[in-house]
Amino acid sequence: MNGVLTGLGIVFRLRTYRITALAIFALALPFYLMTLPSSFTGGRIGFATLRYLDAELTFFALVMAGLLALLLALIVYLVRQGQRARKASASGGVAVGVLTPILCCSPALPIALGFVAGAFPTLVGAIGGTLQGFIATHKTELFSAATVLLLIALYQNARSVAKGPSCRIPGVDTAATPERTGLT
Amino acid sequence: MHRVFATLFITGTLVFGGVAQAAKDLPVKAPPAKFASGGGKQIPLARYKGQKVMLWMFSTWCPSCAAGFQALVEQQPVLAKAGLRVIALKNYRNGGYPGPSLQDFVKRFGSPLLKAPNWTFGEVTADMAAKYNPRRYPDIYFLIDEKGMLQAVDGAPGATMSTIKKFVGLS
Repeated sequence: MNGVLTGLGIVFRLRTYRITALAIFALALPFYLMTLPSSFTGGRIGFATLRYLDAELTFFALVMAGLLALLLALIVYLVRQGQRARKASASGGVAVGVLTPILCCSPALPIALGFVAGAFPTLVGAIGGTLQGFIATHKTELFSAATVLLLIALYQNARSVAKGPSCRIPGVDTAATPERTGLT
Repeated sequence: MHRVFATLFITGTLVFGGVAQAAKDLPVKAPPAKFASGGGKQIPLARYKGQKVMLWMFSTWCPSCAAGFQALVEQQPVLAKAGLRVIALKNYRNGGYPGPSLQDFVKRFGSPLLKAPNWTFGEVTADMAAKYNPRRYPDIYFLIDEKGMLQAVDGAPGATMSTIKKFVGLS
């Protein structure tokens, strides 16, 4: 945990990254506020979805936008430092958060399954409705999973920042210690 | 991150591409079909010829369907006055996922509509699902004019009320 706080401290001590995070938050918050309630509008995203916002969706929008802002600022810092940023969990978190409301009640999933129904005719009936129904009735769990993925990504990237750039020599076991090598 | 944007792009293309495809071939003659009434009777759509009909198929686990009921409750006075007949049918096998019963769902989200004279409730039969909703969209409606011609297909009435109003001649 200390590593995470150290990593965040290193990045957000710099004004550029504070501004970067704020700018990303300013863009991400309206995006999430308009996207998360889109299960009520059949996957349509826009100002019309705002009327379906409730306390839970507003909470998730604030948390996910906040995490995304911190995370992207960390990733920008790592890339600028020439370090490798961990993007898989971040991509997963964004994808799960955004696709959950879109897939639940829009035609996207039935159409996508329709493309493969030629090869597997029973697939549309068997999977489409079941999957959409599951997504629709487990939105809270899926938004929580998206939040956890973003937290994991934040943890991984903040630790990378805290560790700093590592100087590895190809072919050398960097985990070798004097004790292991018998050089003491 | 580019994978996320690719996924979003494909999803968007599927959603709006699908709607565009459905709208391209209209108007067409509405296929004859029967639905199951609350009492289990098979009622042919032809019974409603001569009326402006909104044939709505919904699933009781679907948030946009709940929002659709709430929006239609708000608009009921003007839509009834404009002569719209709404046939609201629970999807065949509830769209593939369990949920509340038709009665419980409508009582919760659209109870004033249960007594509305221009509303008919029932369930989609297997035959009707095959003709009207083979891809099993959880929330889809068909606007059929007095001559039995299918004029528009869309979903989520709460978000597409302008389409319904336009169909009945309200701007």
